[in-house]
Amino acid sequence: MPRSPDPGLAPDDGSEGVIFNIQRFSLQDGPGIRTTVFLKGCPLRCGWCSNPESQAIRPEIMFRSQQCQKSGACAEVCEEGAITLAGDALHLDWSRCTMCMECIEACPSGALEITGERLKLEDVVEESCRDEPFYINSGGGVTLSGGEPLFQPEFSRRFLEACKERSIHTALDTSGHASWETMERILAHADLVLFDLKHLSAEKHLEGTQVRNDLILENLRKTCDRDEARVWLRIPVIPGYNDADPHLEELARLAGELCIEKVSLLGFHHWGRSKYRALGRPYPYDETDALSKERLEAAGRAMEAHGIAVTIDH
Amino acid sequence: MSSRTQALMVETPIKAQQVALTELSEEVRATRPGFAWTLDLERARLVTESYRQTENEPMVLRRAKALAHLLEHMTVYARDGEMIVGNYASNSDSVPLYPELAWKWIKRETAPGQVYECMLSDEGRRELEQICDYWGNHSIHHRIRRYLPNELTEVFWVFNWEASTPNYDKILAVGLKGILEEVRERRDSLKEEYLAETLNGEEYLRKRDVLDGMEIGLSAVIAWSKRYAALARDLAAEEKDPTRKRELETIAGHCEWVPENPARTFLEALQSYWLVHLVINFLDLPQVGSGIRLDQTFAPFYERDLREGRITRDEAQECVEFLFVKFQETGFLHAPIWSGFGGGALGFQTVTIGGVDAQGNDVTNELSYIVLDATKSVRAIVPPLALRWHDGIPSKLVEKAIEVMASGMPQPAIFNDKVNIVRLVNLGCSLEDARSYSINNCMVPTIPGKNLNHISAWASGVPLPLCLTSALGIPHLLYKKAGETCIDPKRIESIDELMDAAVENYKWTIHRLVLIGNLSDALYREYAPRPFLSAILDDCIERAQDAREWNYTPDYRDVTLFGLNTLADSITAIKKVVFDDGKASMEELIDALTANWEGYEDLRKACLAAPKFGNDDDYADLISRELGRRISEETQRCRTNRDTPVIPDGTAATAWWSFGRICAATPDGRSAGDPFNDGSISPTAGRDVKGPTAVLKSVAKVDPLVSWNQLFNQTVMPDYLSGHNAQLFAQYLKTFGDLGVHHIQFTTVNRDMLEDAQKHPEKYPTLQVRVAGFAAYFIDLDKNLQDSIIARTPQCF
Repeated sequence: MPRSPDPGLAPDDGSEGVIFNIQRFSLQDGPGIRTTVFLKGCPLRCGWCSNPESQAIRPEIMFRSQQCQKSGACAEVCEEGAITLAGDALHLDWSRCTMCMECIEACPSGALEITGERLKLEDVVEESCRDEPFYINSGGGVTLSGGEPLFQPEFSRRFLEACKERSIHTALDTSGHASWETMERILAHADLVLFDLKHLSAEKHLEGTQVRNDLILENLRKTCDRDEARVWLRIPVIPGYNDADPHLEELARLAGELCIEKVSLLGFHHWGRSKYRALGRPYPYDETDALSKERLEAAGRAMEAHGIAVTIDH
Repeated sequence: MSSRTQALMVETPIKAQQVALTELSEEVRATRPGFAWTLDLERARLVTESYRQTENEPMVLRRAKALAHLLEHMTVYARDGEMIVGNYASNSDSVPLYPELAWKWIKRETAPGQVYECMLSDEGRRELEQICDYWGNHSIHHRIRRYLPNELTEVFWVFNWEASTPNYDKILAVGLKGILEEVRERRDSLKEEYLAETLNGEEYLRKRDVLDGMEIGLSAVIAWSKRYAALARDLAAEEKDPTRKRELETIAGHCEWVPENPARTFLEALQSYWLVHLVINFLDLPQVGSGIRLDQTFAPFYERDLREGRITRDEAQECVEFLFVKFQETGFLHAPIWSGFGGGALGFQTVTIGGVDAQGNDVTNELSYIVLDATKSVRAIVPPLALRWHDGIPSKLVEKAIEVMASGMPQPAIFNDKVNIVRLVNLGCSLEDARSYSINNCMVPTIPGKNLNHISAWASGVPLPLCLTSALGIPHLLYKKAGETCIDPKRIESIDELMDAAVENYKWTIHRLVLIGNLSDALYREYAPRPFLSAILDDCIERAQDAREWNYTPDYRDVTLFGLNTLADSITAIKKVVFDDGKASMEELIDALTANWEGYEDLRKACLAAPKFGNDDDYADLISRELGRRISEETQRCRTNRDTPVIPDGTAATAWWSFGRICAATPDGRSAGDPFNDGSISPTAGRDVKGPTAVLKSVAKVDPLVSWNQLFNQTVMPDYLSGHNAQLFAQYLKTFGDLGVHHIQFTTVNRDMLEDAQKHPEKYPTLQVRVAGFAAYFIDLDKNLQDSIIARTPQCF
């Protein structure tokens, strides 16, 4: 097989994708019982992101310190000297790491692991369609999520097309940050779009995600304008960022205007904290309190008052 | 729960909650209410007394008279507040003994300094001694030693378990009186046959004794119920509280009338059932049965009462609760090893709801829902509840079942008609009978009313992984022997040879177990005829034969198998690590297993990383399927005394855990002493990483129609059974039905709760988990079993 220039990257023809998780029995990513394929790589950098390993497109090393038995096996095999045992704690110097993965092979406890893997399209399709008996009974199917599926456009297009060929229901979970031309080609094979929206204000959007929202909002309108459009809006509700009632009401008005089928509110939580630690990155939202269920329900009611169907995931 | 049944439940010692005396600290013991149940010698004393008086009589009459003597002289009591009466020991805090079956282990374990010491007083020990002196080597289980060839003593010891479900519909319709008439008529016709010279003298003699035994038994049970009537009348006469006085008069009226006569009301029908249930499952001999289809048998009585304005739905639920509270008093003394992993003096007694009728129509009725509501409110582990799943099951019944599970109850267990009916037909059952099946013990299909059709003469079962470790020459820790084929590791060239060797060892073991079982079965036939039970099973009166003298088809004589997936994963790991990847030689692997992986950590890591059953991966799953097929075939080549095939069975209870303790390290990466795979078909704890749909698909590949009735446990969080998730859970269950999986049951708790319960058992007195085909109170299980349940992958529903 011809190797692409960067061994971490998949070839452009979509014959392979970089994937960090295929989760079967997903209940929150569209209707019914689903399998969600999480692609690696995202153009946004949301500080609250609970899957920080989804952001970079290359495979990465995760180190779970609580599982480490401090055998020192990793330090011994590391030719770059990136790993040291300081006292009883293991220290990984990420700047020296070349991702040779020798340490992962050597680790006896599973504390070091790799996240992200290049997988062949047909293997991903095969694994994603395995739960078809459950999809049939529950009205479920596959959901392509990330990261950002539009970041690996050809793989995403071919994946959804292959699932449709098997008569499997498809959903695309996207932040909409891509050229419309790219997006349209992929939407052609999605029965449902789960469109992620963080903020309606361009400045606030830039502040929270490090990208502006112009392109996103434009793509949202175009997505909703398509004849075969079935769109759910997914909004991560982040305390102190986008949860003020006037903003929620504005979102509800937009949803109404665009004939959005349903709005899903996802409450901010800290489940991603240990992943930041494992990736050796600071967790920007460490100090932010998780959103209470009551608050999320209140937000849901505020939007429902505008005649919008709302579900909450807490 | 009604206030009356709630008050009663608080005062009821729950015997199934008692367990594992050796493993528990004083501190933990003190947290449990009603811990100090004891052994009651009354039954042993009365049965022995009767045996002394009947020494020269035919065995069938001796058994009938022993039962009659017991019922005439035993203590009868009515506890304050109860509306259904009937007891099997002299007080509600004790369990009886069966010295005619075995006494040696009981005497040994109740001796001073032994684990069951506290179960008897010194005076009790003296009396037990006297009773045992009479029995000597004449108890059934001790007789076997006289016959057992030395060649068979190498394999693990076995014991009998049996179950049958009498024709309760008939008892409730015609009463024991009607059945007694039938027996007498048959005796007259028997005489006519002899006079007409169509029956020979030998047959006349034997059949006449059987019918006489039935008459004695039936009359004795009728007389026994009247003792309760008299007791209730006496209590009523003294009762100051007018409400209770009326209740006692009602009880007296019921017991005066049933089970002798046809039941007139719902509560009276339950009373009639309970008395008969006690006799056949506890007083005559111990049985792990029930197998009643509660909603089918009692619906006509409920519906008539409702129609005629005698009962409300709430009152009917209270009646079922009164019955369920009575179940709490029951249980058997298990040998310490069994008690230690079985969750106390559990008597099983599964009851069934739902399913189809003989024509295949859904039979759900309002009582199905009432039983589920009563189960949810009583919150007890007996009786275990089985729900039959079929394509036409009403969504509302599924919703109600999920509601019960969401309340934290490990009930109901769900059984798939698609598998059970076809399996029974394949075993020779008529389609109509197969459709009427229910569940007894905890996993075994039975046909209500039909002859004793479940005997586990070989109930201790076969720990399948030992068949491989024996082949590889790895010594195990306790089990006597599981085969003798040692293959030369240097010369193994494929996993096919390994599979052949494992199956060869299984064959060696199973044939020996069956040889012992057949001896045991023969002794039961000779020394433990069941005249009363025979009278209430179909066709015994007409045949004038004891239930043990003939067999209904299918003749469900089974052997329990467990550890299938530990065996399969072991062969898969060898395929991957040794043959496919060449990471180690067979010799190295055997050295590693013998050393319990010490010094071979890398090899163990590679073995653990090999594909595992439970992840919808054919590489592993198909090996399990192939082994299931071959082991089932080999089992059915063994023949019972009736020349019927021995049936493989998945009632693994918690044997997967306890027998793990005696097994050396296995190639799947398991360490010596660790549990085998959970249940009979669940993945090994923690090895299934792809969630509940993948597990279900893996399990479905091991076709129960070509393997056996597989026990499948899953752990779920209660949170995921409510709201929107409840609907998805129903669809998950529907897919379980479609995929043809035999059985599924859920532990609906979360890991945090279990860990906290381990630290603070006092906070969780009623926290329940499903361990195998029944439920247990978590705090009663010993530490290692708790650990293994915690390690069981909590499914992210």
